[in-house]
Amino acid sequence: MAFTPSTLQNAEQQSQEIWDKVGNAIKQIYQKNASTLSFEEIYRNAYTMVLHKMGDRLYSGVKAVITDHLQQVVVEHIVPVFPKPVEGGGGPLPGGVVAVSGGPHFLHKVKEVWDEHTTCMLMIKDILLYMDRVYVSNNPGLLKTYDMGLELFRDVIIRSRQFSVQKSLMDCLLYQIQLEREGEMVERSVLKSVTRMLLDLTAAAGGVRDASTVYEADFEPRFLDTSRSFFDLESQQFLRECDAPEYLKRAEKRLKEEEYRIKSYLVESTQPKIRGIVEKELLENQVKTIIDVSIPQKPKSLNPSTGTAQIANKPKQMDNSGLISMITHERISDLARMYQLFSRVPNGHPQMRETISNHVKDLARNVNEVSGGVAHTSLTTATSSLSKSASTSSIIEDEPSTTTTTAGGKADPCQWVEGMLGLKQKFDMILTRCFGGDRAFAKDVNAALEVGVNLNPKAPEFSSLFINENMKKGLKGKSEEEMEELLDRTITLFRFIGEKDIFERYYKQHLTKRLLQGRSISEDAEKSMIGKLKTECGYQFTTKLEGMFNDMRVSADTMSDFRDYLSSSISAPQNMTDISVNVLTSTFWPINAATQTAACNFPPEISAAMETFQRFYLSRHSGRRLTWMTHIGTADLKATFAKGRKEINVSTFMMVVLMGCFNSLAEGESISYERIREVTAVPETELKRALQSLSLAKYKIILKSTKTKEINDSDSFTFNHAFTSPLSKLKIQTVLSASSSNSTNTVENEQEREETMGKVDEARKHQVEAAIVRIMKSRKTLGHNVLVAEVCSQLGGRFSPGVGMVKKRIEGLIEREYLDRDKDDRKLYHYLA
Amino acid sequence: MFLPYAAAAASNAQEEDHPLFLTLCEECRTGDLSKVKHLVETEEVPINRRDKWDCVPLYYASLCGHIDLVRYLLEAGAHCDPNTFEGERCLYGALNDEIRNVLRAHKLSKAIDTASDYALFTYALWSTPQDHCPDISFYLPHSPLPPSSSTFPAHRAILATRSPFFLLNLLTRWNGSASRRVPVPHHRVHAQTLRATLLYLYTGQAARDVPQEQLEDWMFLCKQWKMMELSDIVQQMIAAAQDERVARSKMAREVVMMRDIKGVQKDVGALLWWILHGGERWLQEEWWRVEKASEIVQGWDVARTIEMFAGFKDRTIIRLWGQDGPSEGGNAQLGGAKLWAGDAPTKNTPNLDSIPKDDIALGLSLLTASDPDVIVKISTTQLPCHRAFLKRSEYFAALLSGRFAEAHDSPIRTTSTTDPTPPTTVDLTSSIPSPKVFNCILEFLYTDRTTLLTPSISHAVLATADLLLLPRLTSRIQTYIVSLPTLPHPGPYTLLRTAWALNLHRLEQHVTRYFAREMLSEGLTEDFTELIRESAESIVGRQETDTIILVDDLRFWIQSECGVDDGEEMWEDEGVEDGSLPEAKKEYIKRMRVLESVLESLGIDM
Repeated sequence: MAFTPSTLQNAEQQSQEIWDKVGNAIKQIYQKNASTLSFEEIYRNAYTMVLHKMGDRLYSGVKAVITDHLQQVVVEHIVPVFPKPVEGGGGPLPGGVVAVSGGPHFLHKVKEVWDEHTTCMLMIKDILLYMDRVYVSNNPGLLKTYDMGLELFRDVIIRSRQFSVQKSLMDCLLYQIQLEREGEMVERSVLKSVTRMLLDLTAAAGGVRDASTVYEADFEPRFLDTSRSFFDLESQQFLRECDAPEYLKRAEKRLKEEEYRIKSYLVESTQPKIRGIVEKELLENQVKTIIDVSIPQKPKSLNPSTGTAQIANKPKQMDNSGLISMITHERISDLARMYQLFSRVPNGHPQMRETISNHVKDLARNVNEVSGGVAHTSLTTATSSLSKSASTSSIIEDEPSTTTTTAGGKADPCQWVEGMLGLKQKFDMILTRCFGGDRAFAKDVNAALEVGVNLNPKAPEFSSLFINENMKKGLKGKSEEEMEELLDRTITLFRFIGEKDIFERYYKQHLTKRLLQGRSISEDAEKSMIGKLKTECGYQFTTKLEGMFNDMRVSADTMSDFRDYLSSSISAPQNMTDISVNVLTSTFWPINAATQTAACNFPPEISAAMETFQRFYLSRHSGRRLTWMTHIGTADLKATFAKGRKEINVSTFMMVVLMGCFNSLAEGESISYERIREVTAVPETELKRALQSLSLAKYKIILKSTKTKEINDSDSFTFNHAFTSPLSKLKIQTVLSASSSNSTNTVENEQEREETMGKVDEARKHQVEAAIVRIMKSRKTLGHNVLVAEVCSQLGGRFSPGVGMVKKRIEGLIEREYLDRDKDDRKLYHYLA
Repeated sequence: MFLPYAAAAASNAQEEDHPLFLTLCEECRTGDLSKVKHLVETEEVPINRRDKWDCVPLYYASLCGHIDLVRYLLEAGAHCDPNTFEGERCLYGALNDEIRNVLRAHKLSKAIDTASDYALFTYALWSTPQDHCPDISFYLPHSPLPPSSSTFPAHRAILATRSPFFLLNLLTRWNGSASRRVPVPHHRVHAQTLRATLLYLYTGQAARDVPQEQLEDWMFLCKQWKMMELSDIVQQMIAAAQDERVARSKMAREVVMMRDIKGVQKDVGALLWWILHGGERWLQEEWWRVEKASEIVQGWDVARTIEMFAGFKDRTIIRLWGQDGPSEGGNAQLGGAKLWAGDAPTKNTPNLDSIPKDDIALGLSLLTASDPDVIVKISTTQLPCHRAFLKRSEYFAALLSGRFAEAHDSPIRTTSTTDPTPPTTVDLTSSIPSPKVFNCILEFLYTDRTTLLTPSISHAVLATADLLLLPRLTSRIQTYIVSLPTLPHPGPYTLLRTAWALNLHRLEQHVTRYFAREMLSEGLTEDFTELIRESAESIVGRQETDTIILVDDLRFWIQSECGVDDGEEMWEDEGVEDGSLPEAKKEYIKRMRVLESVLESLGIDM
């Protein structure tokens, strides 16, 4: 055994012998003769050396043998197969990639050398176990055999000072990758082995584990650099070669390819970096180009189908292929791809949203111009601030004259509403199918639609008219589901309307007519609509509307009670004229009793019936006051003409005229206008309309003395005994007059509109005041700005009050001593209880 | 372990400020993992002791934030139970949450009792058999699980010596290469229960992760395989699962927590004895031919096998470890000096003549069933061994890797009845001094015990253990030598050099103390002078003022031997002649003068 002192000379000689054996064994291992070596013997020799304090000699000796061997390997195996740059082979490649030939062969050789080296190192490590355990552990700073072997491999072969192995290796790898990107087949397995090798080698000397590897330090940066230039160039090329959908397809493919490349032969940690580069070069930098190249050029017509034809004829280029074009042609998969890809880059979605938003506004503007009766010029000023895209506004400037002339006149509420709803539907479809219902997108589209809708000042009226139309006609013959769907759609439009109080006013007017004239097709539909409005705007919004329905129901009950009373009560007059009365609560209905009710002299039969009802009603509800609304209501008359009896339906005033004046006339006798006015006491305008309707309209029940189209004070009238008609029941329409509201589904004229707006303003004043008082009551003291903001937010659901309006109301309330200004701070208000 | 501090302090009075323990505490503060490892593994410094400030090493390590050190100490068995003084203190003092989590998490891993290294080893054999040269595997042909998780590699050596049922079957149904994959087709056998059964065979531990609904089936498997002890345990488990009161009873808990690693040690010990004493004969008589062994058990059923082997195994173990068996503590250090004062002749009888013929037949069949796959040759002695056990040493792992001439031809031998070949032979004559030494090594590898160690071979085993990269064995032998009443062969000079070479601090101190004690009788021999010179040279570029470690240590021990304190040195020159000094002081001065003269002769001025 070894624990005896030995003379120096002896030790020297012995150690030389022992070392020779170990060194020889390592050489044998390199020559693949390990299986002939006795582990026991070599291990024992190495052990003896360490035990005899010759660890340093053993260690440095091993290091030298390995170094020598690797030197030899470089010269014999690596250098001869160095790849050669291809001379004159094509142009320069992006990012300093050098085209080389013999790359795969070289890589194979490197892999082979590496595999051999690691196998040998495992065995060398085995025979030097004792050295690792004892000598290396006690000498900090030394590497264990295996790690030392790796470092030597790195320093002698990969980073050889003598030969440019590393450069060749990197060039080879990058060129192989370049080739694969260009679509050629490369040997992935060998690439993988080589990258694994680079990953096993630490970059820094000293074998610090967890430190960066050669792969990270030397290869990855170059790989990323070349990739960056490659994709930068490629994005330019794509832009030249293909349109937006194709571009996106290629970008998607590239992303997948790079991901797959990482998985197959690069390193997972490179994944986010290379993905970042592809995204940046192919997507982020090009977002605007891809989206914008698409602006349709000079839309000759606003009809999108014409646009389609234009685009189809275009050569395949980036023109007309971007986002807007995709939307126009509903290219679902392309849109979805764009959404997916742009979700990867920070500027993608915002840019898309902006473009879509502007596009929606444009489309909405078209609808406004075509069927909204909105003059074009006014719009341009209104929207130019909204449209940020220069190209968008340029379309408008292209042809202002044509649009202005076509627009403005024809206002078709139904078409307008359908147009808006069509937009909404289209974008909803795109949202769900392409953008995965992305909230941000939905929000932007809705905001844009809202802007578009509210650009039409008549939007509330149009919406209400649309409903009116549908309630009267459109729903006929439709199933419940269809009806529901239609109502839901109108509600979506309703949501966009900013001035909900105006809508409410119009809706009330239209509903009044429908109810009183019995024009509504389905009560269910009406109720359902009101239900929807209620969920949308709350209880307050629909109280009055529901009140109107309630009145109708109560009236029906009252009438049946009244009939019972007539048939049963002894005190009831017999043979009374049949009368049907709707009792309307004055606050619910948009009928101004003071201004719209004109008294007149009813024929005695009628007044008798009216009085009977009035008595009956007041006896049941004491304390109420009934006012007869003469301008609404109809009467069924039986008229005897020469050619037989007819039943005619006329308005109240006509009935008064016919019964009051013409019943008493003998055949052929005429009556003057003056006389009629005296007898009936109907207001002049109404009287003229009634006479017009009877004498100048389709059914001429009475004959006018002159042939003019106007009723003059000097005219006189006779009953037209000779009147004939194939129908036995006639309805005599009240003719339209310039100053009266009409019964058909048309838009108000300017005058009416002013009236309505005046009323709306009045109502708003009250609401603003009420809101101010409510707020002040609860807060007692509040600064001006806060108060205004509160008021606006409270009323926002119905309309947006202007700051000036709120200010005026505050002034008014101060005058009426509801509020008081603070003595010191003029901007502060106090509530006065 | 958790005595009140006063009591603990009293019992540790002398150890508390032991220089090595203080060094350990110091290193835990600075965080030098390799030094701590050395102290704990080689010097066997206790790690659950407190210093005079009442702190344990783990506390220092966690306070100073050395997470690796904390992990190491916990694995080495440092206590950190949450409801104890030390445990709470460590948790409270831990530098960061990461360490706190490690401390907390360890409490869980402790639930699986891994205290014993041997249990850890057999557990590893069971949990990662593919890393440990398995030579048979069981699979469930009907299992819905993929083959990888319904196949269970195992080791014939363990199975044969642990269970007569397996012994019989390995000799008959499952012998040879054709049966390397053994199907277990019964539908009541599940992957979980099969694994649990193997766990018991390997570690003596009853698995606690078998689902309740499979307990009945597990019992079925135990009965099938005639594992009566395990079957009783499973019975208890079933009872506990059915009745909570039973579950809470102390007995049930003890049964469920049962771990019988000693039983495994004992059974493997029996196999070892036959390797050591029957191995040569086994080879000579070509028992590796399976037919020979199968003849013995011809016509036996399992019951008969059990009956035959019950007594046989006990007799074998008594031959190996005496009446007390392994229960008397696995470490030679416990009473080792008493037992092994002289070489016990009975332990190493190589001839089998005194043993009944039947026992020999059974023993050799046991060897056959265990299927030794490598023969270790030391000079003329050849021992059939098992790779699974040898590979506990990294040396053997490399040697048997198949990359070198040894074991190159047949990395894993296949027993086959048609064309039987003896196992590969590895000649270690040059590395291992004698078969006796190797026996010690084998005992340690197979059973983690060192009873075969004798003073005369202790030094050789120490060196061999170091060569074979077995630090735990090295450290154990060091403890053994230190505990001997006299320095064993080959005497103080070689022992001290060995201690230096192998970095064995305790042995170094032990021998130095010996020199301090025996100074006058050993005197001025040249060997001693040479030793001091070597110690001086061990410091590279030594300056005049640098101390020589050996000399310092000698001074310390001389002082300690003579009961002299450092501060008392002044009277040294005054009263030597007048005899007014106490005997001890005179003795001290005498010895110091001897030391100085040696130094003078070396030309070193101290």
